[in-house]
Amino acid sequence: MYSENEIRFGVKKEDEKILAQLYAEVYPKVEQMLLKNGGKTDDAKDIFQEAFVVLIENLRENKFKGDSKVSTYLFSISKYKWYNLNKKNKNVSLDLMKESKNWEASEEIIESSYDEKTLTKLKVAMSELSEECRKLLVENYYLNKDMKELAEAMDYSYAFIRVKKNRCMNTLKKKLNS
Amino acid sequence: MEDKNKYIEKFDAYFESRLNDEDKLAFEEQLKNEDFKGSYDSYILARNAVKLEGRKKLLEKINSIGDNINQSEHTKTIKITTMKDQQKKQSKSWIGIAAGFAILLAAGAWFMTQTNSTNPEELFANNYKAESNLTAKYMDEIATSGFASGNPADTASAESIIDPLALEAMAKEEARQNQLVNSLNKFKKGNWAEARKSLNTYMDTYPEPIDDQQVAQYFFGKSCLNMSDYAVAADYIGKVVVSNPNDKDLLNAAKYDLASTYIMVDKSQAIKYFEDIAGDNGHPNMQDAKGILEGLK
Repeated sequence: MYSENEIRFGVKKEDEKILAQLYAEVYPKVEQMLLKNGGKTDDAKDIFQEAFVVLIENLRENKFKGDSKVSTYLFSISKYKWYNLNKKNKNVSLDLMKESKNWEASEEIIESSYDEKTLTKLKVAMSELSEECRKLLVENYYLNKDMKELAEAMDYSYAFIRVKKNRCMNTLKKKLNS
Repeated sequence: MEDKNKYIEKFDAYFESRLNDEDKLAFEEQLKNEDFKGSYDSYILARNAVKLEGRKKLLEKINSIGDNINQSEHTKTIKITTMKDQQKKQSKSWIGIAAGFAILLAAGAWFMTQTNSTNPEELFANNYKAESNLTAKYMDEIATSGFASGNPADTASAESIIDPLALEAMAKEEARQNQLVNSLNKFKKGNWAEARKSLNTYMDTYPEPIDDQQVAQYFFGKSCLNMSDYAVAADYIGKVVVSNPNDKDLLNAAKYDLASTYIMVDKSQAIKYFEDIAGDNGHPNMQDAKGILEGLK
């Protein structure tokens, strides 16, 4: 059994053992909630996994500082996502709607900020970068890894890795503008 | 190229809110320039492309964890049988080598986590234990002291049964002990929020006897700690340390947990308490404290 602090830290660091325990604990509850609110098992899996991503991002960016348990928070994000997807669906209960409104500010949804064409462009531009550039940008910008730590891991000097990251960003910008 | 590189670092600093007020204003002034604004907009677009890529990889990882859980549910029985068969085939020498290697790896991992970490959260998570082996000890002690379970009349003397005031006092004492045992039971089950609430009621209702008040303060503080409420935890566990309980097990556990709590709230206090423990030959966590101090300093 892990303490709340160990769970928060483990989720932030993507510790597979802790992620698996949290998955096994919360997923059945999410599935049950969705089935009661007009969803299917496949919906539950998609919603839950996307909610898991939001949980990890929010913990990593210190957006979740509340007193509630991580498992409760994950369940609530799943509820919100399901509510958000089915706002006009009469099968979604009133209770779910009320509770989910508290979580509206908890997620930054890039996917709905851009049209399909732009989203494809973003994905294609990333896929055209070198493997090393992709890794460097994701680890620094998405995983918030320190540049000194990355320099050591990739066997570069600190000065060089900064230049390399900036070059990768400029290449990505160019691809997006082309 | 150099100018463009500088732009990226400037954009990073603004985007990540690392600029001071003056530089932030200057940056926002620059944003009024169309070329600069265009460059910043495409930077935002690029960062979102990176975020999408990161999310895709994370989603793949979570998906794979989900698949493994489902698969392990379905194939648990088969796996157990297969593993047993494989184990029979392996020679003892290979098991010995593997075990030795595993011990080396575990020792290495322990050494790394115990001594090399300088991240406060990591140090805390690696060294703090949410459970306490004192829970069972106190539950047993209180439960066997006469009242915590069963009828008070069962353990009362002939005189006290006749005296209604003595019976009333015994009933009150039974209620007090039951309240404490129930609170500790909630803690033992990992219901930190419930334990915290129940111990709070106990502390308010029964300031005496002082020994049990110290036990309640310790477990209240530990429940707070397990809920990441470090300031309140430090306050209550600190009270136990300052009151210097007669029970050395309680004092040692409180000192170690207080030092661990301070990792998260006040590094200098954490160092002070861990130094105290590291210099105490009779403290069961003396060696742990020495390792943690290396990480803290």
